Amino acid sequence: MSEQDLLLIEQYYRNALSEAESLAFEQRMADDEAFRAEALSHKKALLAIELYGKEQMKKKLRERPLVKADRLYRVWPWMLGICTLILLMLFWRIESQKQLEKPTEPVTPSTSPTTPIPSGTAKPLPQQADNDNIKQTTNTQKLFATAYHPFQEGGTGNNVRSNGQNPDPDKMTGLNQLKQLALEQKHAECLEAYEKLPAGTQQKEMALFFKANSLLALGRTDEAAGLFEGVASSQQSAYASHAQWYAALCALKTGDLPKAKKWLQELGSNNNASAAQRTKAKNLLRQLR
Amino acid sequence: MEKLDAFNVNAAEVIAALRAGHPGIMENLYDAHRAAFLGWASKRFYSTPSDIEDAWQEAVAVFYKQVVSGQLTALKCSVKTFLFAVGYKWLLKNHRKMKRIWWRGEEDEALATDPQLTAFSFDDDLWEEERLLLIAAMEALSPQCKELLVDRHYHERTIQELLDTYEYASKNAVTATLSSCLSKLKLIIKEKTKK
Repeated sequence: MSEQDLLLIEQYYRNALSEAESLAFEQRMADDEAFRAEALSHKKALLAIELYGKEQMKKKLRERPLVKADRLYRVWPWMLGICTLILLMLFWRIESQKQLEKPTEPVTPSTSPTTPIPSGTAKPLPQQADNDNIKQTTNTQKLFATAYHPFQEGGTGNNVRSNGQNPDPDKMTGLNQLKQLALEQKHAECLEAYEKLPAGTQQKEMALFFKANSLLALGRTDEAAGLFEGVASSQQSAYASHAQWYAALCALKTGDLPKAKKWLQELGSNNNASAAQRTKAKNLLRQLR
Repeated sequence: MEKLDAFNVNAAEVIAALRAGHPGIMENLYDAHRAAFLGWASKRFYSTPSDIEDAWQEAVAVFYKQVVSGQLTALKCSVKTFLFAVGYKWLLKNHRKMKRIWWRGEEDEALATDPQLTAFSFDDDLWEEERLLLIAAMEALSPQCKELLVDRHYHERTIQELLDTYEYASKNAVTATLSSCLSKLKLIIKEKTKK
């Protein structure tokens, strides 16, 4: 094959020929077998170079470390905005969580605005794993705050029947003093008076009941609960039904819902309790359900 | 050459830079739109990341070749749209059955209406065996021959540019070496085809 023919073939594949020259080239390819073979061989060689060149280029692009895209600078305001939003949402969530975990301050009932509500030293609530439990605890606290009133003799359902005994006058004086202090909401003095009682008198249900009443008023719920439960279990005590009510309230205060329900159920079916006490217990039980 | 912003550069600037012998712009374009293409194509094809990456490389390589060979002198759409459309066409060619979403975007529009894309087809529509044979034939050449042939016929460098780049005495020396390398390549292909 002459140099001129080779040049012609190269020009053809470079699209460097005129239309007439291209037609003449194609005509020669149809007529001249050797020329056609050489042209096809050239075409194949060019294809090989192109394939190899492309592979080399792709390899170079693939194996080179990616240039850090400038796009980052364009999206940073968006990223900043999204991060701020996420932080705000997190902050809001944490704050809501704290709000739910915080024990609710008891609400002073409107009927007795000066009544002190036990708080502060109450047993810390158990850490609840989920919000439902936290909400439930918060609800029992609210119910406690609404239902709790320190014991008032003569109030609805608070009439304590005398057991008909005629105790020692000195002891009666001490017990009466204790009771009087409790009814006057002088709870610290009431506890001091309790300590001054003779050991035998201290074990009387009445003394224990008023001590518990003052303990609860001062926020010493756990101590009060134990004493109320003891009095409540004594079927003979004139204070048993009241103690059942306060034992239930203590359980509510500490978030022990099953125990609160148990005491309310017992009070609701206690034939020695007044109708008003039973109704009060049933109403509160209904709210707990 | 002043560095071009691959995100904002227009097609004319890219084409001018490539025609002026600055292939570096391809690397910028490749990096700038790569992540977007990978995300875009993976939503449209049940395909492996490696296939999609391959499609992107193919698109960039095809664009480059079309520009340097003078087949593509201007674009009606953006460079990004052209690259996406070519990559998309390559995926359709090789993974048509894997296409999964049938919505239409600007790339579909360009593929259907832009003459530069409707007329375009992949040149190397070869059997894999033949493709490997041709690449192997190139591999069999000396490094000098490979480099010279690729520069001349793939990167479309002129004889003068080759003379300026390599240590040849004259244009004739360049032409003679090119001719010799091309003859060797033809011979190797002939021998490999016979086997």
